[in-house]
Amino acid sequence: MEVITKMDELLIVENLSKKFVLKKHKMPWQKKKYVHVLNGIDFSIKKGETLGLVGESGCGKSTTAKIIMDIYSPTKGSIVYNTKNLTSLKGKERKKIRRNVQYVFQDPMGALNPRIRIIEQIYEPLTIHYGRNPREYYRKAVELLESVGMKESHGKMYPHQLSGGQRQRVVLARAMILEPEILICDEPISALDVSIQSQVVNLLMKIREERGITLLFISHDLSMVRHLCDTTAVMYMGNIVEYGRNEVLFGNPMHPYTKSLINAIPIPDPRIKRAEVILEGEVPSLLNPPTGCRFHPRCPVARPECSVKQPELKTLPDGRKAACLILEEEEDNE
Amino acid sequence: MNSAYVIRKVIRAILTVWMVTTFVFLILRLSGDPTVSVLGLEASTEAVEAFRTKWGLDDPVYEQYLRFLSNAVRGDLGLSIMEETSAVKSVLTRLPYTLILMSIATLLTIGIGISMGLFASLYHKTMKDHVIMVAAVAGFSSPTFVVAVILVLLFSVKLGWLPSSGSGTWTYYILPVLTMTIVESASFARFTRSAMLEVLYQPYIKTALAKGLTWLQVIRRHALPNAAIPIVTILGFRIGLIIAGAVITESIFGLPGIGRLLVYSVKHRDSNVVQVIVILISCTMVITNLTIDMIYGWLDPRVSIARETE
Amino acid sequence: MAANQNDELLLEIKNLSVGFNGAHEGKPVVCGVSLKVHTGEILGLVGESGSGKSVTCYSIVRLLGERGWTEGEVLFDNKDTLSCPEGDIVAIRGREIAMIFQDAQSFLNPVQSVGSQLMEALMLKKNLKIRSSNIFRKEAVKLLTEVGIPDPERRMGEFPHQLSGGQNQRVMIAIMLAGDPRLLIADEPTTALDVTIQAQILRLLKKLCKERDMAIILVTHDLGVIAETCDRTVVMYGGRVMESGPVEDVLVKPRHPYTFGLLSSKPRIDKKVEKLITIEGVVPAPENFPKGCPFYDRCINVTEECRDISPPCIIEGERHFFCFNPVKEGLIWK
Repeated sequence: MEVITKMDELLIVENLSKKFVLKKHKMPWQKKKYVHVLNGIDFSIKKGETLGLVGESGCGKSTTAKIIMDIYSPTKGSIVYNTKNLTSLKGKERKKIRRNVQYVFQDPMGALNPRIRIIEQIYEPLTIHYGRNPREYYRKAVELLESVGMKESHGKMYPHQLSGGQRQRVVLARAMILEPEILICDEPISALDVSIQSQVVNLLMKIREERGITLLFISHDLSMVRHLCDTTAVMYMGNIVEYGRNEVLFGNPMHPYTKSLINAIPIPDPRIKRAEVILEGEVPSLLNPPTGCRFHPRCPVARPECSVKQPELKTLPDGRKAACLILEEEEDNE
Repeated sequence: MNSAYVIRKVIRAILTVWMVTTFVFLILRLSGDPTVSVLGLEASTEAVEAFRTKWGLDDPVYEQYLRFLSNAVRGDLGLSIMEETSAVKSVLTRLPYTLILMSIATLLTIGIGISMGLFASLYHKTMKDHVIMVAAVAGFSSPTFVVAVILVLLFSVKLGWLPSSGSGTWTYYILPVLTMTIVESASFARFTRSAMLEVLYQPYIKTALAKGLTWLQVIRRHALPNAAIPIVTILGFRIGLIIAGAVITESIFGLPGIGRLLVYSVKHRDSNVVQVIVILISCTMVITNLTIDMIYGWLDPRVSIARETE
Repeated sequence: MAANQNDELLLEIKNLSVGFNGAHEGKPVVCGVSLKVHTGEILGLVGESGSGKSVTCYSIVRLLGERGWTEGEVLFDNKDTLSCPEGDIVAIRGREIAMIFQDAQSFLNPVQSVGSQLMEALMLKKNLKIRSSNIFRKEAVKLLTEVGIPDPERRMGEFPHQLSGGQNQRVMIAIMLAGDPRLLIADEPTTALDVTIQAQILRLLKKLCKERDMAIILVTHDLGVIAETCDRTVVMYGGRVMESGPVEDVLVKPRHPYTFGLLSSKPRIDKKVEKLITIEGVVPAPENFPKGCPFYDRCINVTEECRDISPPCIIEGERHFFCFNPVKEGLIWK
């Protein structure tokens, strides 16, 4: 399928779908059951932009990240990075791309080898991609360590001697040493203390300013996404339900799920009293997803047609995209 | 538990028994035959040949194997070469001795092992715990024959209270049972203690206490049912060894049980007897494990009732 | 705010210190904490990890384990729960003071059905021997309905691993309501849950507080939760109380620099914040708690005496805080 790339779109995800086989005790002749975790999602990130991918459990944002990281292969769809289709690349080509796409995960302790000194872990990617040159790499690593607000003396330590926030900064330094074009962050601050989270986020913003790096920021913390990102995509049960620039999306959310989600987030100012519109029920099981629009059983404004037809992500006049039959209708009526 | 689960387990069980039997058959056939044991080293060539033809030892291995299989399926497991009676009969006459020894020893092991382990876990990190654990390590580190010899030296030789070997009245069973119990209950105690400790530090124990239950109630209603899961697993293993586990002890104490018969038969390549014993042991193990699997599913609903998502 | 809040004192913690033998060099993790809970109110106990908020709650019902030691008093019903005989504290647990925990599934017995765990709690209340449990089935179903579990009859026979996080938390709440407690301690009950489910659970807690005239100590690190759910709040850091008072005072005009820093380092969902301030440094470990204020090495208002002398208690109306250099109007955090 032809992929039309605009010159400034660094990462394009098109019709990405993923299903997993359910592995229960079954005899070979029984039919396989699948869990459809991703249902054909589309989004793109422009160069230098920060895209936030948000949603609650079961929405598929982590799976999306893992597919981009090549941990899972997609059932359908494509990921195009800089005009190259990632899913069809192999071996050396893929490795070259890896230099440009770096990742930061939720658990900084898990991302670091407990038995190797910090400074060596920071320049390890250079060794992997460019061969050995410890003396020069050491210097570069110290530079990066200092740029993330730590000291050379920290480099001689082991991960367990650092705090959570410091470890995550080390992970960032390591990710930056290859001077990547795009950084994929999967819940990078959820495991950190509240007073430390801003340290890491401010650091990300600094890196972004200094190097013009592109960011994909996956999180369940909508407030942080509002603060950090330029554009946001809201996911629910494997679909993107709303997608647009932050000022538009957060300033005036239109999809019923986005509205409920934003409304559920508590505001630390007791003077502000919002109408208590609480989303009832729970996310249904992915094994038995609702027909039509997956949000319709919990949607406060659902109509009969919502259970029949699955809405597509359509562009609204203010530039954002939303997947909702009711919004489509309102659009048409205008 | 659905039928697919059960069917798979049963098929695996049958396969296991078959594979074990075949493996033993091949090993025995390929490692020699009983001719020398029965006839002695001085036997004439004709005698040897006649013997071999009589027992079909001349035929190629696969032919012997097929013959064995076709007979076995019909229930005929052959004759004991050493005793010239039915192999099955040979084994069955030894069975009571082993069963008596092992059932008593296993019951004692479970009783003592579990209570010691429980006790140690409840007094975790105190002197009582340390004492029991040191005793346990001493117990399961000592090889069975060492314990046996020490007991014999003490009770038979020095004190003269108990017979050192042979069979007859119940007194002949005391030392063998004691030997087995000492070694096995030690490892049981250690295992029970670990299982209990794992459970006692779980979050739901805090909830149980927060409800207002006393420690005794918490242990009885929340800790034990959860600790039972791993303990039952190892219990199954122990019971599965009820036939095979006493080989060394029987040999040292001269108890005419199956273990001793096994050693004797392997030594003399009395393959039919070995085969019968092996089938018996593997069937016991397999049936015990199957039963434990079923019990396991009843004890732990996470196994039998699958979660819907993920 | 709670309509039935009055000034009757329900629980008073006086100068509580808690430590664990063999951990942190035996140094206390909670130092000299005092706070009051009134009937019918929801008190928010806010702090990050290492603040001692959870340990404080566990000590109220003496659930610290054998290695925990305490000093001070916790007065409830003219009894000191820290030093009263074992029989008394067992009678208080679950019946007068109940406690719910984070990550409900781990805190529920995995091999006992929901119904059976619920009925066990009911039987304890009636002080009957735990034998035939079916007498309490009806009451158990009623409790499940009260906490908003759909299809309660069917849930009775299910096991914790079959339920979702939100449902398990409701079950835990139901179990702890069985004894009709006067005080419910909720230790981060919604931290592990999706934000829409969190909103449901918090609404449930508010409803229960009103309908049952039950006070709640709500432990959390989320200031938004405090603002929307609690009447009063206590801010803890490094094992001590930093600030305490009505939510409208503490969160709108914080007087302690830590509270101020915390509020300013978190983004908001309702508006875009220009810059998140960073609180440099890390939370101290108990073995490194200073004699003075534990926040001294991260505080922008720090002066000489902060490290070695315990800050004075300053009372302003209904609130009080411990600081040598409280926040003044127009403070800018660099």
